Amino acid sequence: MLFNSISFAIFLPIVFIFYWFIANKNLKLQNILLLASSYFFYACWDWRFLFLLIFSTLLDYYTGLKMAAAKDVGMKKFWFWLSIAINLGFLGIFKYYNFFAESFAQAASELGLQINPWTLKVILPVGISFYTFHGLSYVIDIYKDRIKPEKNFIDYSVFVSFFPLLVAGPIERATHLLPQIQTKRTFNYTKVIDGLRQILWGLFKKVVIADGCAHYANQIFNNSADYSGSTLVLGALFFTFQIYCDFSGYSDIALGTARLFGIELLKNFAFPYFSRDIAEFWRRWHISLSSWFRDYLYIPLGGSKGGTWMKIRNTFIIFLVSGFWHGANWTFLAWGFLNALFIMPSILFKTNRRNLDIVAQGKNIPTIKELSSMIITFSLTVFAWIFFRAESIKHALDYISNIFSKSLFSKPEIFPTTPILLIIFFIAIEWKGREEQYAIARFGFSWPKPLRHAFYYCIILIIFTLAGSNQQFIYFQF
Amino acid sequence: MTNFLKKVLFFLVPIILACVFIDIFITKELKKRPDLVHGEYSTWNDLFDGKINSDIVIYGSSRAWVHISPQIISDSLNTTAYNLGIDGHNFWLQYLRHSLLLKHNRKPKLIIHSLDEVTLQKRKELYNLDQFLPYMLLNKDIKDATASYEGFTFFDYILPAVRYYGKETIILNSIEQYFEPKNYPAKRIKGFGHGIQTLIMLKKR
Repeated sequence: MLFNSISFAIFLPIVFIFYWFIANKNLKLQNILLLASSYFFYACWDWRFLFLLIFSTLLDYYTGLKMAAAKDVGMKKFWFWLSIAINLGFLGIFKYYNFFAESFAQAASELGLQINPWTLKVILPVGISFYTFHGLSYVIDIYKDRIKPEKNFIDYSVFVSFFPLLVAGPIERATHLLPQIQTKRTFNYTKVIDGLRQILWGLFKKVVIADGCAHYANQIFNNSADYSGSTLVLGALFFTFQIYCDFSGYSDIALGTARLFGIELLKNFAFPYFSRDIAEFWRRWHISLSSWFRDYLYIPLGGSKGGTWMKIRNTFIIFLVSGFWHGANWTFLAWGFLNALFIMPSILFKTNRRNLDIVAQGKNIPTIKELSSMIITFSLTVFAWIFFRAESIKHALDYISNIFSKSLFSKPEIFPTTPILLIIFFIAIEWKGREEQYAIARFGFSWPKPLRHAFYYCIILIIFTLAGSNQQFIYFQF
Repeated sequence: MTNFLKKVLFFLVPIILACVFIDIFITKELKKRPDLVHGEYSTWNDLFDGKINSDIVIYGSSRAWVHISPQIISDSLNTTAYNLGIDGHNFWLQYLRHSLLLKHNRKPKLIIHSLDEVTLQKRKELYNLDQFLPYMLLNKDIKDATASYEGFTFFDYILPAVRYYGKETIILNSIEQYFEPKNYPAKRIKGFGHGIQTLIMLKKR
């Protein structure tokens, strides 16, 4: 069941009505309803993997309790490492086993040894990277005595499986989400309307911009050898907007949906393409994952407290792991490596916390300096996305070498006006709303109500007319 | 909460009404386009409007559609004929046309069925699915015949406008038809869809 499907449009109001009308006065019933609907939501994708999700939930719940009850450090460590090993084991088997087996066989064949690796013929369980990281953060926090284990299994299961975040995040923390699950939630009209507005904007981003761009990005990337440099640049730009609108659109729908049930999820995106340097970009892109790696990997490794070499090492580790988290392909590692390179100057010269505010705050137009910084950062990001999208490192390198040819200055073979105009419209709205939680959070609030409603109707009409061919959310595969 | 539901309903009513209006509008204008979807709309229109009423009907895939001329049969046998060949489809959709023929038209005296090696091989996807759009809403015959293919969802058959979602070209074609109606050259004559120009030239000779 995808967020942009009719099935979801029917599922959501049913759960909403049951939640607020029938289970309204009973927190326990509300949580049971959320859990049941979350499991139903997941089973609609593939019911067999529901058992894996329930097992993963049980494992972390049980080891959490065991760690808290452990009488000595040794036992605590045992339960901790057991949970980590099983969690990462599942992730490793489903996500990385084939990659390592095939890479090993390839390396062996380079040495003249012929190995036919045994590979798994199994699809990746959707959301496994996300719910595993939920569980890991919970277990680590208990081990580090930051939190106490949750005794109520239903509450803990909702924390792991809450359907808006189940398949593609945001990656929540127990400290943020569990207290909300345990607290009585009352209907809040303003919040619910705000949630609906965010869902609408997320849908627009996903089905109009992302799916519209996907068609051209796929066409250009899949036949990159046939196109001129200028078309390839356009292809990279289409993918840049596709991936942003696909993932942030998903996150908007997730946050908006959670808000309908009185739950606030962690913000995942903060207008990253308006960043003035790469460090700022990473504070604004997939925030829940970046902060996860910061708290559970970068800081335990020593963070930026050590010497220069330690900083460099930790930065590369965190970006390479982040790249690898996205998938078992060298292209993701190259993407992570490039981002580590891009961020390195600001780490070395300690300028990585220079741009903590919002660009051109309170103004309509940025300064020349701000604009040029944004363009440079955006260009670096586009360059790195080529590796992310390419099928292999060779494909990415060929793509780049074809860009930097004479044909770079020729007229592009593909120049679709409708998607380009839509992207311009989208950038304008995002720029206007960059100081808010999401672009249209307060858009048109000074207008008369009928005019504001007309704006929403326009967006619905654009979605109806210009929705691209249905594409699965990119981050479902991670 | 009640206040919220009232407001949501108030917001949704225009959308629901618009969906019904959009559905009627696109459906009506689309049926007037014989140039689209390989000319299939003209054949479907004739089927549903009871305009086939021929003594001889021809069934089959594109092999029937482009190979068997009802005009030549009519001239030779001095009777009426119509070609119901459906491009890219096998027995299941050919049978749909047969059922609709019996439902909305006079029973034919003779059926010519063009068979080939894939007539009884069902394909997975619903080829050229846009041809069903103007006729499929709440139509049990079309639903029964097409639902087992990959293409439409359950809601496409029962909710207005849903099947036109994201079909930019189809929507633009119907708008164009409304504002700038043209006499599009027919792609089919009595369902026959190939060599029309040759046929006209032969007739002139």
